[in-house]
Amino acid sequence: MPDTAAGRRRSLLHETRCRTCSLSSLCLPLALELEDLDEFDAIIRRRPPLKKGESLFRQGSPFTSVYAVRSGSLKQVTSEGGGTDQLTNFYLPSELVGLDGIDESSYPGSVIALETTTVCEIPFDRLDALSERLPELRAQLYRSMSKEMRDDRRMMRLLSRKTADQRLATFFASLSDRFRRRGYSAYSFRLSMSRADIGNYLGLAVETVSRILGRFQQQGLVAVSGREVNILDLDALAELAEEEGCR
Amino acid sequence: MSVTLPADFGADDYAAALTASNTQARPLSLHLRLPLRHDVDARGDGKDMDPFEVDLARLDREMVLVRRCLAPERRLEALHWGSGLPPSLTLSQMSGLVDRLASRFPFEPGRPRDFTVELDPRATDLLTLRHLEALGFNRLKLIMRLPAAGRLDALPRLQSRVEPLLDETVRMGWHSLNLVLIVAPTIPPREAVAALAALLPMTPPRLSLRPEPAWQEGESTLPTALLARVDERLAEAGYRALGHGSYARRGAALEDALAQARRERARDRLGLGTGAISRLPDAVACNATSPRDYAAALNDGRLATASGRWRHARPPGPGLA
Repeated sequence: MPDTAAGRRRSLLHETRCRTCSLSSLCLPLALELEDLDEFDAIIRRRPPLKKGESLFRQGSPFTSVYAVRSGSLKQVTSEGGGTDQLTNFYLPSELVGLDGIDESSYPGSVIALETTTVCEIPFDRLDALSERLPELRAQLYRSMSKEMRDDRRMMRLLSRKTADQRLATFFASLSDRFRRRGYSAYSFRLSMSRADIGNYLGLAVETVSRILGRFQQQGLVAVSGREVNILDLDALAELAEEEGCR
Repeated sequence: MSVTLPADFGADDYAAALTASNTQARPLSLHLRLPLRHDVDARGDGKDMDPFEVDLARLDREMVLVRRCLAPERRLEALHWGSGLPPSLTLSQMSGLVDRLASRFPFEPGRPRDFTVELDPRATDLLTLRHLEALGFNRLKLIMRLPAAGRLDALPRLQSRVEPLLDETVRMGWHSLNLVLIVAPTIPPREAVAALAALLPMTPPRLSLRPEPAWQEGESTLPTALLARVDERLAEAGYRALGHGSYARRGAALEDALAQARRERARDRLGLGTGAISRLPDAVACNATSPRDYAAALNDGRLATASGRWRHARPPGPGLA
């Protein structure tokens, strides 16, 4: 890097990426040494923020990169035959988007911003090459994939075994945990997704989601005002989420 | 139960029987007959009102009149929601109806709860079922017409509707699924049994056969010859006859059916809606079957009882109250 004012500015800008990112302790660079971090930083492409409703990529488009969410949130929508759209994932800051495209070299679902969202694009061929030389990076990549598989299995269990109340309780308990791990409040957060999105994701009608939200409020589990959620009794919510079997 | 009851039993008699039932104070079982009316005229003057709201208001009036006769501590343990074919309520309307029922007849917490809903599998999807589960229902009756032997080609389509619902009730832990087959009077017994046999691979926990057109009345009046053949075929398939054209698969399904029947016998049955039947310790009563008569009675502020009978000889004089 030349020692010029412009170079220093570029260097500073470069440094603010992973080294100073508040999410680096949760994201791919988690285990990297400082000198390795620079190498990793060098392969990242910056993209302009996505506006609400804008696609990061479309279902079926060629797989080229994975993306780390820096701010905002996204949803993954998979279109099935007959025009049915199934919402298959929500992504929050520090989470990796697009890992499920590696296998078939195309993205299995469209990913759409739920609000103004910034992402770091990580070209996969360069990530793959870099992780050959940086075992810590490869290990973190494996951990991210493993977490995605674990989350998928949890979701399968939710969809196959749980009642509507348990599904929504699981959803809120999971969101609370994800926000807590990112340093946000576990008790008070804003939903970026609509009730229709939540219903689609959980396999429930929007009327059912509204019904159960009303019941949770009556039971003193949560207070909901528009999209603002206050969790009033996280233990009870978690207990309901973990229940197996039904009525 | 026969629905041909003496017409000299009226609303005052039913009210007296309701009041008398407080002595034993048995748990309540609510049997709701939907739709409440089948013709526009019965909706009354509220031409600009949502027909569902008119129905709900009328049903609420009936609930108030019934509730007035019952001791306040009496609680609901069972709900049987019989619907027409096809069902006509949206999910929000279902919620509204259950809320209204719950406000008039609080559910009994901590007691075995038998909440049954009747649905047409052709018009029911998994989201509807999950919504009903969220409303508290835990038993399902799927109502379908038994196809004639010459129309067995329709069975795969029907099975493709029923099987996901059956699977979902198992996943959600519903206590029972009853496949209620409506049998046309013209169908020969041999053909009926052949069609029934084609449905058995789905292994529904319960099966019922009801005669068309009076399939809603709850008990079978199918020809004896047909019932004998059905008994035999279903016994081979592992079902036990429970009487009146109802069967349960041996094992847990049978035990559950017998236990539910025992609980139901220990409850007072209150019928709401057109043609609904009430069964109390002292009397059996039937609401007006004509939507117009049902509406007229409630609009006049009286119960819509059209017929009934006392179970025991009563001493002369005014009502039991």
